[in-house]
Amino acid sequence: MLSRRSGEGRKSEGEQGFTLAETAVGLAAAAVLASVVYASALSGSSSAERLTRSVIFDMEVLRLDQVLRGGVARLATPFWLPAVRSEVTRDGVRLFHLDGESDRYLELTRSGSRLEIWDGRHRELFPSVEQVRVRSRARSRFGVPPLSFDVTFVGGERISIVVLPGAFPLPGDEAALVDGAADLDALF
Amino acid sequence: MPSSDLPAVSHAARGEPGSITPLLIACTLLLSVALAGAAALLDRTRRELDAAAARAEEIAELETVAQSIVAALAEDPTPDADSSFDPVWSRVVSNDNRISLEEISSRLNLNTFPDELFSLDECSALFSPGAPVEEFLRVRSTTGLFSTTESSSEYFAPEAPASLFTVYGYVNPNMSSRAIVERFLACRMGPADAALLAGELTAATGDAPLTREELKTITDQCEGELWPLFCIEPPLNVNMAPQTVLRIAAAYLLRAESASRQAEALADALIDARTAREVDGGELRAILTAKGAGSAALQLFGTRSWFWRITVAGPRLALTRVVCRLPGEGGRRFALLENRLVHTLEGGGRR
Repeated sequence: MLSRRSGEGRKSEGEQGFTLAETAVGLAAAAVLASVVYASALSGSSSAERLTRSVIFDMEVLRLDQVLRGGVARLATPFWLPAVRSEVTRDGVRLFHLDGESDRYLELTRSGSRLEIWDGRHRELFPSVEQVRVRSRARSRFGVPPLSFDVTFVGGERISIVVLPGAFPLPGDEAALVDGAADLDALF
Repeated sequence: MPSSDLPAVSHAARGEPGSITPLLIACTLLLSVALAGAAALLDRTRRELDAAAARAEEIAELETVAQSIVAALAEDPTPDADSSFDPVWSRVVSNDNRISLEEISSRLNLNTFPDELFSLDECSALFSPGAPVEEFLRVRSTTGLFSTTESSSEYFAPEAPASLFTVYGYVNPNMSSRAIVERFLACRMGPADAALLAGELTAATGDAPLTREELKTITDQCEGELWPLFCIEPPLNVNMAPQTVLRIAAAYLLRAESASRQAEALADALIDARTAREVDGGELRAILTAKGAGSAALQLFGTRSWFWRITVAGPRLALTRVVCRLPGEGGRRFALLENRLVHTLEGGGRR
């Protein structure tokens, strides 16, 4: 066991070492430093977790945006129809005239917190979607009626994606158009 | 207690030789790897951003060119007639195949042209031997309207050029049958209303062709919904229609005369006239009268084109637009109907 006396003794003999008080002060400083580092690490870990969640969410939003834009761009509504032909199903919606074919469709369905987008060949899944609202106007005063997708995610975040189909109805007489009149309004 | 038995605090404290060089090297290596990874990530991000910016710039350029073609169509110095003599074509030719402009309505319309036209002998060569015209007409009447020409390709002979057919065109009640008019009306209103209005329109065309004012009176309440899909405009521009289409249309107009030579003479006269110059409304009427086609022919033959397809190709992308000229207002208003962006490089896909 070290003692001030023995330490003084060693020092006096030209030896090196620490007294108990020095060691205690060192340990206390190390403890304070460790607590600061621990608190920072804890905060850093929480920030990293938030960042990871945010990046995963952003990636899902980007993928959803890409899949929706790609799918809707393939919708080719014949110009003589007043709107994109659609069918509201029990848990989703079907948008017809995919690739110009009247019997092919882009289908969006939601079960639980999972949104599924199906083009007849490929299926894309989005695991944290709580609600989807799809809207479109029959004809727009501005000529081209877009499709609007309002998506609510499980965490409560909401995004809106507005997409133009590849082909759209013939614009009509402007006097006959009513702004805001929805042709399709599906909530699922 | 001997000094050698004292607990060691550190090598340095004991004055023993030691080195932090391996630790420094390890740290430097680790730092280098981390920095190299970060640099690679930044470089990739920068290249992706550059590619996205280049793509956006290319799209904007394609859209500007396509818009300039529509503007050139709208600024035609002779808006009452469209032909290959119009200034817009010199603009298309001068662009080294980067721009393609097609008139897509002066063709055999699979949805609006009457059954009698497709049943002509002149049309029989266009149909596939395995799928006679009767089958095409039966499918047309039972399943409704063809969305694309490709969806009806099984009925036509492989050697029949796709450029003879179209689904783009307005519905002229003076030319289309009651069943066809009803089919289009049913897209815009209930089946009962469609049947009633189709009956009224067909009855009104019995003695003489409907005029714009008469069409407006009959459609009355729903005119806003039907215009411009239903209008009194002839679908075939004699300046732009393929020769085969002109000959079939002439044969259809003069079918009651039982004189195929008269139909051929009419088609030849139209082809000769348009080769030399742009045929305008006055000259068209003169030719039709001279060849005995009568005023009914003006429901089928005209001098204006209604639907156009514009394709602009860039280094990586191609933009295809379908636009239509809206009837009235001097024919200077166009509407966008289709807008497609296609990757021209291998491995690309549609937007």
